[in-house]
Amino acid sequence: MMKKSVNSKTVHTKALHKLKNNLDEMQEQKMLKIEHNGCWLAFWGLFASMIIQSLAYGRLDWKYLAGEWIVFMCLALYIGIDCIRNGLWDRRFSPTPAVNLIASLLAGVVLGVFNFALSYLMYNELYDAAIVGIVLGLCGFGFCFMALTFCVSIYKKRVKSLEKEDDKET
Amino acid sequence: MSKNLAIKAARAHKDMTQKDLAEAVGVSRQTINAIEKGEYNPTIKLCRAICRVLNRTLDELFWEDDNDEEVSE
Repeated sequence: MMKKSVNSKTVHTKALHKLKNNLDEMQEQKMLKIEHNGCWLAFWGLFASMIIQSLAYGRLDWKYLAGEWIVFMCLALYIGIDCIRNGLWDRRFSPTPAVNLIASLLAGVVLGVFNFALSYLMYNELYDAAIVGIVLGLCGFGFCFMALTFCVSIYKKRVKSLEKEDDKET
Repeated sequence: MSKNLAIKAARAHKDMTQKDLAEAVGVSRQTINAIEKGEYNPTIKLCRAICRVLNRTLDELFWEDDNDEEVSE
């Protein structure tokens, strides 16, 4: 039964790819550019929407954020995994510890400020909110730096294996 | 990227409009227009198709002197 449903899905996907493409190569590039912009608009729009909703409600309630969070994480995982699988990192930033440190610092500051604001809105205690902001900001920084370092190591391994594959072909 | 006047001249020599050339190579008129204006860099596959239709070589239609070339960032 399971095999049958997988087979029918494959046939459906193949049929979809067999449909004639009405775009020529320049139009295809433009379409990809539009889809690229749309993808990043959705990504950062979801991110902003989660922050604004949390601050507007004055609490971090997963009942309201679950949908956005799931789509956001799916997008982030898909982009991250597929880029590493294809041996791609970033257009402008290189995968170095210095760049990872700056990116993690930025993420830590954003997380710290967000949690400070949220905590202050929830409990109206400035001192406690500052401590929450600092602690969670530092945790965010540490987690982000570790995650980036881990991703860089996987990325480098993947690039090496792709280059080996290319060597075999030539 | 500079204008591609060679395609325009070859097209005029064969008495073809942008639309005729576009139909012959299987792309839209906007694409041919963008190539002639230097706004779009076609793939080698499309370059060869254009050369075949206009009876010209790749060098004649797409070669640019070093002075004319601009590397787009």
